[in-house]
Amino acid sequence: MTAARRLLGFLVAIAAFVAVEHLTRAFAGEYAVRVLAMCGVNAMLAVSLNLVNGTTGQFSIGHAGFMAVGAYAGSITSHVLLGHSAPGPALLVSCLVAMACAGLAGVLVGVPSLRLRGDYLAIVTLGFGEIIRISIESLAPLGGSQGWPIGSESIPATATIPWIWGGALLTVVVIGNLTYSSYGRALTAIREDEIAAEAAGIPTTRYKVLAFAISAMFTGLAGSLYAHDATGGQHIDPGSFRLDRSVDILVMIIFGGLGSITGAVLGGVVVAVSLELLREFQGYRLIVYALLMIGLMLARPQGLLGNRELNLRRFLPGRKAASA
Amino acid sequence: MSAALSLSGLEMTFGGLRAVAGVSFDVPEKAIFGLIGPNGAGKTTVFNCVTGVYAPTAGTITYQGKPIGGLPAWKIADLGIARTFQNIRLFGQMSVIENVLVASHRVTKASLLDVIARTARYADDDRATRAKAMDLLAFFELADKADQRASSLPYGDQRRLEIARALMLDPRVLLLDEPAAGLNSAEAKVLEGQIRTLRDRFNLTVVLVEHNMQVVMAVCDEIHVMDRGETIAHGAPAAVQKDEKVLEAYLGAGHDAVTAPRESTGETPAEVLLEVKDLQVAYGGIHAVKGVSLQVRRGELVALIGANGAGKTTTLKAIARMLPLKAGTVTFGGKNLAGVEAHELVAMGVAMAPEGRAIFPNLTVRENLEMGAYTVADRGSITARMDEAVGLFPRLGERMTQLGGTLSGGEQQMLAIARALMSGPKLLMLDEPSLGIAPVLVDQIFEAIDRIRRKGMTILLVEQNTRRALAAAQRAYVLVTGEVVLAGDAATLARDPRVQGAYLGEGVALE
Repeated sequence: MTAARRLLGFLVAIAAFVAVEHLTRAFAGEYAVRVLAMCGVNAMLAVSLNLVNGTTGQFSIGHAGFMAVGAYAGSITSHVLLGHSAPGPALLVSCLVAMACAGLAGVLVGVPSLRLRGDYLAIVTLGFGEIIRISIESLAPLGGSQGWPIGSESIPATATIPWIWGGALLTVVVIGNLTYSSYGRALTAIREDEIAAEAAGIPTTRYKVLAFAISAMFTGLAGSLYAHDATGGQHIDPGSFRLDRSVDILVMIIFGGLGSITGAVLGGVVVAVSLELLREFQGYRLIVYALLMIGLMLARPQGLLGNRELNLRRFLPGRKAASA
Repeated sequence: MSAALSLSGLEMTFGGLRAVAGVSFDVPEKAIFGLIGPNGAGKTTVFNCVTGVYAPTAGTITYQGKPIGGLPAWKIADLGIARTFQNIRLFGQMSVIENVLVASHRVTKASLLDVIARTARYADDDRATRAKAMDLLAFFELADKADQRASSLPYGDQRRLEIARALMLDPRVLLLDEPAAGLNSAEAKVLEGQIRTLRDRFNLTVVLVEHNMQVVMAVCDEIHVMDRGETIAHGAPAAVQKDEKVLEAYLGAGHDAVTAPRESTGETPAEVLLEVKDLQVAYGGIHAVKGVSLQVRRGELVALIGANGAGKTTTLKAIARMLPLKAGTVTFGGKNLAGVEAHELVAMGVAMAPEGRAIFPNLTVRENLEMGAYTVADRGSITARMDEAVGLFPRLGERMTQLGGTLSGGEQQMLAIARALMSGPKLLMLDEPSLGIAPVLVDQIFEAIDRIRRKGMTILLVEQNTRRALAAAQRAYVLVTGEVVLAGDAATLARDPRVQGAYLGEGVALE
């Protein structure tokens, strides 16, 4: 790729960013924007979790914990930067800090727990997820169960649609490139047969931790953008990062098809949109949602896309190389 | 002396079991080296120690002048020792070429950042490894199947793909674990040539664990024979083949057992209880049983013998309705068993003590026995049979409240037989009752089997220990690669040199 093309790509990206910003402002109502934002956050969460649960075959149900780390780290950073920096760069820095913190948390959780398999790993990740949430709840400087920020302050509402969808795109490209490369093959090999993967020279524990850390990083990014969501409440509390959040993400990837990145995006969007459309059922909303899930699992147990990708190969540079 | 790989005093203990009890040998550079021995000898355990799946309990493994015992498996693969697996471990959902590419990951020059940013270095690296993988696939005639899912390949292709994947590591030593398993004799012949070609073309040292003695005798320069974790012979193929200890290990000890009292079998033949006609079974791409016919008459003990992989257990499982039949019929007491479920068979009067015993480890001995009587409603007969079982195996009586999993292998085997008897069967099927069990207990188990038969039980026995089986049985069938090659009176077969051939690969003429 030449420097000129890189520059061109960069300019196109900026133009697209500005265009999306204005288009959403001009045409989409506040409600539609909120759903779009939710779809983007869900897509990030689902694609991240899919790297661990789908590609590497390690069953984690503690990702709400990493989302919490990202959300708190990100919003605290922007609180600190408030008044010292323009809103855009401040959000960028907040997201980078969020990714770093969540990635670190991923390594810390992954190293001891990824020696376990199956049910045991699920239980341990669930436990770690809860530990993270409860630790935040009991930390007074973070606002405890009242949430952050303390008092009447609020998190800057800087994450507009181009930010959130830009984050989702970044997640898809990075995790997509990783998945369809020799690293991704190593991770898939671990899912398929760990002993054979070791015999093929792959240090399985190290790679599982790597997948876990990258997954946690992008879950943290999702958390940070969720906290700064321009249509959200500008306030986060530990209650948003309970086990049911982890289960939600799991539902998205199972919906979309375990192991498929485009499936994960689709699953995230379907979950966000269907929960909105079901609002008219009011009190029965979750019952109808559960019935829908059961229905889908009976009709398509492998999820919407199975473990294949939707034919968007042109958008995934890795696929182009792979099919050449 | 240049040894590619040397083992010295290697020991591997699991719980109380010494699977490998002090094995030493040197594998010369560029040799094709055979590691053989009957089932349970510890051959695969040696492989697992060498390749880092297990850390050896004691002893050293030296490769290129350095000790490698206890290193992680990926590190050993990295150093140049590659392997295949007895029960094929491919990455089933990945394509054929991806399976091979996985093994090139260690030499990849592209970093994580190269991968994410798709730099030129990544593209070059990817192109180079793909080209190399395609070369290997072409060598194994798999190039046109490069994009198929590995799990969709026929069995023979899967075996070759596993070797291709191992070679992608650029190994100096290649360990093949039963490469001829599931191949017919023509395919095995082809494999012999391939192993030699591999060694020459890729400049390898090959170590081979194999039960197909035709292959072993044809390709190996040197052979190491193990039995029950210990070395019993070492040398050139011709010498090993004639070694008395080796014959004993394969055919079972107990020349005196042949003289065990035997009733005359010349009386009026009893009715046929079990009849198997032209049975064919295929699974996982292997055509394991290719038209077996046999009969078991009421009150008879019939043995089904043959080398490992001959299809004995598969036949038994098909009779027990645990595997689907590809063709043929099984009739029990005049009733065709097609459509009968495995669990219904117990109520009809067929009980089995499966290979590997399969007792319930977390239930007590008493509870295990009660589970065997699951189909029996009458408390009184359960108690009576429980007493009978204890009479047959006094050891079980002493251990009634102990958990099944804490018993020794031999005791577990006794429990498995006793459990099978609890349902009050008309036909008892025993699958390898002597497998992996200390000789003293094997004596006790065979005495018990004899007593069970004398009480009028009909028994179908699958057994590797040929001498024992022929001493206990009235009639026997000898299986070789899924076909009955010899059948007849057990005493006659015991003296038939062709039976020995069926085990040690001297080529039994079919028909």
